Amino acid sequence: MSIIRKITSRRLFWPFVGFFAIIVFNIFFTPNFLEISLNNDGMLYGYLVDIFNRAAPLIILATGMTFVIATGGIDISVGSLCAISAAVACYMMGGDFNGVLRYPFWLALLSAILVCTALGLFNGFLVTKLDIPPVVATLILLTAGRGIAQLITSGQIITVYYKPYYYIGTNFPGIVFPTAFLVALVFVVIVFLFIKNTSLQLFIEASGVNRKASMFSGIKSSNITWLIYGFSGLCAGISGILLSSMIRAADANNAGLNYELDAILAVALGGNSLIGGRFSLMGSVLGALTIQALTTTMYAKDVSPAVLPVVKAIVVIIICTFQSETFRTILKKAFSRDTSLATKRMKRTRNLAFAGALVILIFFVVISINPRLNPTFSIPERVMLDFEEAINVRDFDKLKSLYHENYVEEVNDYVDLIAVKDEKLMEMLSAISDTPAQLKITKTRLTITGDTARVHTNMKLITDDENLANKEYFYEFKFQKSKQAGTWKLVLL
Amino acid sequence: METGATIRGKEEINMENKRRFSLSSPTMPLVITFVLFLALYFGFSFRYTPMLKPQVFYNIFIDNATILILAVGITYVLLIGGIDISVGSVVALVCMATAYLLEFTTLHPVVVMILMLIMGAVFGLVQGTFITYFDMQPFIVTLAGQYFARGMTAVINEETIHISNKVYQSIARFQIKLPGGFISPIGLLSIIVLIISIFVLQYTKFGRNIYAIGGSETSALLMGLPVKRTKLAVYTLSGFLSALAGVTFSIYMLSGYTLHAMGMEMDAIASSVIGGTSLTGGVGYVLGSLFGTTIQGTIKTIISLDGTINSWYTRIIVAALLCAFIVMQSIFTKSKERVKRKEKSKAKTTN
Repeated sequence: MSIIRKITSRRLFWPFVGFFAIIVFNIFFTPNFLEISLNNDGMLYGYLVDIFNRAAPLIILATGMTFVIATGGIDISVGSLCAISAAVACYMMGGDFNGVLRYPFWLALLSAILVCTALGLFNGFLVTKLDIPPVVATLILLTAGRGIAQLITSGQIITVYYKPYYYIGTNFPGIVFPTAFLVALVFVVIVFLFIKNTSLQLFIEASGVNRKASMFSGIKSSNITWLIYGFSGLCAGISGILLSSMIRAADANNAGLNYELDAILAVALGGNSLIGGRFSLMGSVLGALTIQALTTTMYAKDVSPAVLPVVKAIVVIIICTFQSETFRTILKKAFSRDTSLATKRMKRTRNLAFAGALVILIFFVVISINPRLNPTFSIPERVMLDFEEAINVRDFDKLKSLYHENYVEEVNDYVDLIAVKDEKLMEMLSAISDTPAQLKITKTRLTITGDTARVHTNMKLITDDENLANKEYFYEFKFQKSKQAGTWKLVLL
Repeated sequence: METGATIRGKEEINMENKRRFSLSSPTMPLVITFVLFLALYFGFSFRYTPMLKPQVFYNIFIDNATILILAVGITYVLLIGGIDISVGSVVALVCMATAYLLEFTTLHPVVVMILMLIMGAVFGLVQGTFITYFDMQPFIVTLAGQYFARGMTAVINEETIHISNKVYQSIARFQIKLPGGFISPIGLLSIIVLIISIFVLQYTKFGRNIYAIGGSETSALLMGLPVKRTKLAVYTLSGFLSALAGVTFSIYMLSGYTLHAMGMEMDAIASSVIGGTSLTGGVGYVLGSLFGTTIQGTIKTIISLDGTINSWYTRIIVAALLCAFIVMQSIFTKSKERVKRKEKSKAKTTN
């Protein structure tokens, strides 16, 4: 009994349980979960590697966030800082097709990190020197950050064609481990050794618990806090570079989008209090891994990526509720054997709460059974043309994982198919109408379910034929992971 | 001892009278914002002459009705010292749910609107319960709420749904004639919401409770004010107003989409803060959020009239303004504290 109590009372026990519960679930329910193989670039590949690799940017971000939260603050600008870092790095490298760089590689990376560190220090200045509440101070950069990133990239998505930059997102030739994973590992080890061998952890915790008391005991808490915000910026800088090298581009709108919640969630999942004070770095790392494991699980189970925020939000609320002192007292009272009047009322509340939880559970079961709840749009089909085309699916898994990250800009990069598309479409169009027509694509959407990908493109026709113009048309292209052929379908409404 | 205390009290009253016209008075940011708005609008109207037409001025209210309603809701929350960053996502959720219900069910539009308002209020109520009764940080709770609402929007439908309902279309097209132009019903609605809120905050018990709680929660509790109930009501109100804003946005956009109203919570908070509401609570006027919104609207108008400026400058300029106002507030409170400390030390020496 006492051994169990000893184990369960360890700080890292619950974070470990959370992480391993997801892993064990996957071992039983996801086929090939433990399988690890080498891909074409000589990199380890598989679900487990994917979890560690994709969690890397978040781990680094969560490290910075842990310190910030330990000082009693919060940094909600990290996602935007990631975007700025990616923008600076990619701008400095330039989008030259032959991989010729505008500035040296190391300078690009260094300046991206330095810019973010400087912005982090700016946050710290507002928080410590001007006594602005941390949420508010970092709100400024959250609002402005993506705008600044847009200005740096002048509103475009800069794609970098420089080989060594790819290696950061994948692996360096000859090394089987993904670079992002190694970077995160080295980073965490350095930070861990640093706080273990100095009294920094004590100082941070002291200023988080009681700023005034730690000031009186000779700790310059405001300077420490200032540096911590700078460090959080540095983490966001590194993380932004990792993120952008994974997609080989700087996307000011989407890079690190919603990463601030993920980082906060990682810290909370690691068993750290969100009010500040004592912290555990390893807990946050575990938290980040748990989030990524959860994400990967949902992708493996083909749950729509759109549902993910809902799950994350519920997890955050549940964790925070259990951290809440008031809730724990209520819980204790509700489950005690004491039968005074007060606890009777508590028990009634408890039953009500259970009923409420049951209703919510049923609601989500209904949603998950019928995950889209989408109506089927009936399309009055007038003309439909089908044809098959030989294609070469180069890297379906990469395409799929990018799709789940909402990053796919060009399907062409992963499948050789688009070269003949336009000609073929024009041919098909001329079969329907005699007047010359021009295509104008309005929206393209990629959906992947299981091993089948579907490219759905809406378009308009610019033509003199009034029957055809001003109507929405779409064409669809379907292909499968294993089959080296896909089918086109053109539908005219 | 007692005489010392009364002397100090008198001194404070004197200082209060002096400070009424000084920079650190709560009306000062409001005045600054108003002057800034006038200067911005009329300064730039010489360069971009269409701005002198009344319709361009009315358009600011039509285009920013949603943000104005959100900013009013946010002002309540900021006044009690909280924050609500879920409002933008609630707008998106309401748009999507409205579009879905109108297009795929036979519910009457009015029923849909009422359902949406109830949904928003319940959403706010749940968030408020977590914040007030479980003592959770408002930022974390509403951040989770933001994700929840945005996620649910995508769960309903991931693609755009256009609203083809006749009632909604006719409301969207309706024009209320004004000298030199017209204003849309949603623009008018936002101004009505603003006027009601001014009344509620200045002249009702509920409004005065909000200011008291924002000033100091402990003192409000000791005075016997219903702190928890008021806080809960404020978060519910914020949820309700964001649903109302969502209804106006669905009329304005006539569609539901997952990415609608992205970052609108930041625009609303910025409007409120630029309008002089303190982010630490207790200080500010709801009228300020009107000027905050119109300043943002003016910047957008200028950028669209110019046509060559990158639209991302809106965000950057707004953030810069936000930064300036926050720093200004912090300097004011610091100088106030310094004055207080001086008074204290003076009182000590006289003792």
